[in-house]
Amino acid sequence: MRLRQKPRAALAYLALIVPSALILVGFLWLFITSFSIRTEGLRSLGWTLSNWSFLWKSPFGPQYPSIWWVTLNTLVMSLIMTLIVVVVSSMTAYALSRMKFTGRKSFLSLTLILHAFPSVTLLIPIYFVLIWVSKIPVIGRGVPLLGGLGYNTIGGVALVMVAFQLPFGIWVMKGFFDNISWDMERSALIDGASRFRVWWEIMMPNIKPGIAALSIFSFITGWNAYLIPLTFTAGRAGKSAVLSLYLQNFISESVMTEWNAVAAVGLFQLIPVVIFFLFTQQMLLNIYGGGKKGGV
Amino acid sequence: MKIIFKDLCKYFGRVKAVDNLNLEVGDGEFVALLGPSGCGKTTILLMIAGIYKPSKGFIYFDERVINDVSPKDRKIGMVFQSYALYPHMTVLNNIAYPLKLKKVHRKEIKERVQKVADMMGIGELLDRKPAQLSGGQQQRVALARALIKEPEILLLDEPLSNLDARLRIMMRSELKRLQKDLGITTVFVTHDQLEALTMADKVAVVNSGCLQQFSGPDELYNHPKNLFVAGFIGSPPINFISVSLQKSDGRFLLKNRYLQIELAKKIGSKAENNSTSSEILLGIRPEHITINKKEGIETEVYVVEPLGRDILVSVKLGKSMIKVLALPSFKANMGDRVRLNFNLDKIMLFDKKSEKSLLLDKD
Amino acid sequence: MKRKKQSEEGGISPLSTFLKAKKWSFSRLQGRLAPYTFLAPALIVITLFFFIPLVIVFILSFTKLDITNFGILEWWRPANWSLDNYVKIFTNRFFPRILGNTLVYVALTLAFFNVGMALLIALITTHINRRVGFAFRALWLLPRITPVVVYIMMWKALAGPAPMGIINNYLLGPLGIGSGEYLLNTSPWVFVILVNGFIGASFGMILFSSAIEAIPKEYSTASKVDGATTWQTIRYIVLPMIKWPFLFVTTYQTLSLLTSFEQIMLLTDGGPGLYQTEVWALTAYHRALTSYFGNIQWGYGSAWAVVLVVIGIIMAIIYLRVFKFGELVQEPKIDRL
Repeated sequence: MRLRQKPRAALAYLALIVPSALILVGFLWLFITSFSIRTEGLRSLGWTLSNWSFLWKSPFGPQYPSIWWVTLNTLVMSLIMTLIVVVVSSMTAYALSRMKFTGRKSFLSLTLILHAFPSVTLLIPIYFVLIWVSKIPVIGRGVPLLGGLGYNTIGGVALVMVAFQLPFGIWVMKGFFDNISWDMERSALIDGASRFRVWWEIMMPNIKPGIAALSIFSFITGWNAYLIPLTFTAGRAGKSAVLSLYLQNFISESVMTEWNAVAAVGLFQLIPVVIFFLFTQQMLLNIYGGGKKGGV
Repeated sequence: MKIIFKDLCKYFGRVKAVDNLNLEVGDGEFVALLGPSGCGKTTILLMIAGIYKPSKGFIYFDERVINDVSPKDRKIGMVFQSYALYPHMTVLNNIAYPLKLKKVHRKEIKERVQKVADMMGIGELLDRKPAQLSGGQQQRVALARALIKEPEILLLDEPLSNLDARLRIMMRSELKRLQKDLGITTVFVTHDQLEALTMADKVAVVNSGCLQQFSGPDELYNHPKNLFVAGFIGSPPINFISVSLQKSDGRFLLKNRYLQIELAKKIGSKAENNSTSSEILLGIRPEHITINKKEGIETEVYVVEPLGRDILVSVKLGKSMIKVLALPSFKANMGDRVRLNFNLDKIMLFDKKSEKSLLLDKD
Repeated sequence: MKRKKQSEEGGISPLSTFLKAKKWSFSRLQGRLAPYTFLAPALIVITLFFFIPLVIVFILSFTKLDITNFGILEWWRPANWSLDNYVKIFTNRFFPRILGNTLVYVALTLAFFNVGMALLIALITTHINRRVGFAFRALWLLPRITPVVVYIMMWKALAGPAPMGIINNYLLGPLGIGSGEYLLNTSPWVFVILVNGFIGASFGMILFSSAIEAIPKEYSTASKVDGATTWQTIRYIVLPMIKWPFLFVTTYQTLSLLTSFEQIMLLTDGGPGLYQTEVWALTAYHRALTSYFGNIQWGYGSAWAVVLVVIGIIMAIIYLRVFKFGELVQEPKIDRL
C-alpha cells in the first residue's frame, strides 16, 4: 500500500510545484528583462537602465500624454472608484443587514443575482448609456480632473468599474455588518443617534478591517483595469488613457525583440500592486473567502 | 415615571415572544423581569426602550402612549448585558456620546461626565479604551453612559451576568442603593432568581411570553400563583408530590400510596372549592420538611450532599425523589430509613390541569 | 383605573392630539424613508448600469444598428425589430467553430485548473506545513492581482520563440521537442487554457482550502487510526465533506469562464488562424465594440451577447435557489418606529 501511495504523492507535489515555478519565472523574467539590453530566456545579455527612459521621455512622441499623466489618470480613477465602491457598498450593506423596510428581501435577492451575473455581457449597451450620460451638461463632460462621467472620461470609466464592483462590495460589507453586535447599535439609538449617525459614527469605525480589505481590493482592480477603459475611452494613448492602455499600446507598437522597454513599463505598473500584495495578502485571501462565504 | 403595559403583544413571524402582557410599574419602583432564557423578558425591555415595536397593545409612560415614540425621545437610559460600549471611543467619549448628540456645550459635557464618572468611581479611567477595562469597570462606564442623560427610566438587561461571583454580590447591593438614591423608575431583566429577589421591589415572573405573577419577593416565594412560579423560584427547588384530596368525616386528607396528611379545615375546604379534580399536586419546599428517625412518613435516604451551612438530603418516596434541608448535625447514610414531617402551614396545593394554586382566594 | 387612562388618551383635546399625531407621523415618515436614502446611490448605479443596459441589449439584438446608420436608424421602434441577427448567428459559417471553441475552452479550463488545480492546491497546502502552504496559496493569488496586460506579456515571453522564449529555451529545447517556434502560433489552445487557468485556480483554491480547514480534525484522525492511507482519507472523508463548495465553484466558474474574454483578447485575439481561438463572448465584443473588418455592428453583436445574458440570468437565479442564499439572511433586530 505504501509503495502504491508514494508515486501518487510525488506526482501530486510535482503537479503543484512545476506550475508554481512557472508563475515565479514570469515575474523573474519581467524584472530581468526590464534592466537588460536583451535577454535570452532568463539570461541577460547586458544590463542597462535605458529601458526606463519612458519615465522622462514619451516613447510615442510629444503629442501623446506622458507616463506621469497616465499614472495620475490611473490613480485618480482607482481612488475615485475605490471611494465610491466603499461608501456606496457600505451604505447599501448597512441598510440590507440592519434595517427593516419593504422590499428588503427582493433587494437582497437582486444583489445576489447581480453578484453571480456576468456584467461583462452588458458592455455593449453600457456603451450607449455612457454616450447618453455624456450629453448631460456639466456632469457629462465638464468635471475637472475626472473629465466627467460620460463616454471617454476618467469619471465615466470609474463609474462603470463601480457598477461592476458593487454587488461584490455589498456582499462583502454585509458580511462584516452582520457580525457587529446588535446591542451596540441599539445602545447608540437609545443614546439619541439617527440611523445615519449610527452608520457613520458607530458602525463604520468597527468594520475597519472590512473597509481596508474592500479598499485594497477595489484599488488593485481599478489600477489593473484594462477591458473597461479600453471599451469606454477613445484611443489607447489618448488624454484619458490609463496605465494598462498605455502599456498595451506600447506592446502593439513594438516587436518581440524590443520588449525590454515594454517590460519596464509593465514592472512600473506592477510594483505598487506587488507592494500592496506583500502587506495585505492575508486580508485579500480573507476577502475572497469572506465575500463568498455565503455560498459554502 | 410610571410604565404601564396594556394588552402588550410582540410576535416574531409566527412566534409569540410576548403574549398579552398587563403590568404597571410604579414611579420610582425597582422591578425585575424574571424568567428562563428565551421567555421574552428582554423583548419586553427592548419594547420599553423603543427598539422593538409592539405588535399589539400599548405601552404608557405615565399617561402618554409611547408606542411610536423613537428611542431617543423616551428619556430612558439602558445598560446592556454585553455593556455595548463603543470600542473605538475612549471612556470619556463613550459617556459623553448621548450629550454630544443632544448638542450640549462642550464645557458642560466635560463637567457632567466628570461628575457622573466620579459618582460611579471611574473618574480616573476617562482616557482609556473599553478594551483596557475590567468587566466591573466596563459595567460602571455603561451605567454612567445610561445615567448621564438624567433619564426618567433606567433599563438594565442582565446587568450582573458578566461579572464574577464576588463582584456580583457587591454590585447587587450597590445597584440597589443607587436606584434608591436616584429614585429612577428601573426595570431590570434577569434569569437569576436570587438577583431578582434580593434587588427588586417587585418581581414579574415571565414564561413563554406570558406574565406568571407580579408581586413582591416574599409573596412570590411563599404564595406562588402557579406551578411554574413555585418551581422556578427557590433553590434547591420545591418538591412536588402527586396526591389525591379526600374528604371523610369532615376531615380533609392528602393521600397517596406512601403518605397521608391531614389538612387544616380552612385550607382543605378552599382547595376543594378551587380544584376541578381530586388528583392534585402537593408542593413543599425543602426547608419546610423536617427529618428524623422516629416519627412521620417513612422513606429511605438516597444521597446526602453537604452544603456547608446545612445538608441536602435526597430521600426516596416510592418512585419519586424528595429533597430535604437538614441541619449538619443530622447524620444519615445512604439506605438509612428516615422519617419526614411536613410543616403544614407552608404546604402549597396546585391543580394538575390548570397548574394554578388552589389556595388563592377566587377573584 | 387603566380603562380610564385609555379613554382619556382617546378623548383629549383635538388640537393637541393633532399636533402630537403630526409630529409622530413626521418622524415615522423619516424612519420609513431612511433605508431608502441608504439604498439610493446603489439603486441609481444598478438602474443605470444593469437594468437599463439589460433592456437595451435585448432591443438592440433585434435591430440592425451599426456604425453606418447610427443616428439615422430609430432602433427603439418595434417596426425596426426583427430576428434577422439571430438567424445570422446560426447560419454563420464559423458558428460551429465558435461554439466548439467555447465549449472546449470552458470545459478544459474548468476541469484542469478552476476545479482540478484548485482542488490539488487546496489539498496539498492544507496537508503540509502551514506557513509553506500559505505561501503557495499567496503565490497562486498573484496571477489574479497582476495587471492583466502585464500578465499576458509574461506569458508571451514564456511562449516566445527560441532563443528568447523561456519554455523553448529551458524545456522544449533540451528535450528536443519542436523547432523553437513561437508557441502561441503552434499551439495557441494550450496557452489560452493555461493563461485563464492560472487566474481561475485561485478562486476555487481559497474556497476549497477554507472548507477543508473547517472539517474537524477528529474525522481525519479517526480515519487514520482506522488504517486509511492519506489518499483514502481524502477520497472518503475530505471530498464528500466539501461537496457543496465543489458544486458552487464548478457552477460559478462555468459562468465566469463562459463570459470572460479579456485574456484571450490580449493573448491571441481569436487567432492566430481564422477564428482559431475565438470564443462566444469575444465574438460579441468583436462585432459590437471593435472595428473588426472596419465595421461596428451593435445590433449583431448584441444578439451574440444576449445569448450569454440569458444564460447568466438563468444560472444566477439557479444559484439563489440551489445554494439557498436567502436562508442565510437574518432578520434585523431593530424595528422601524
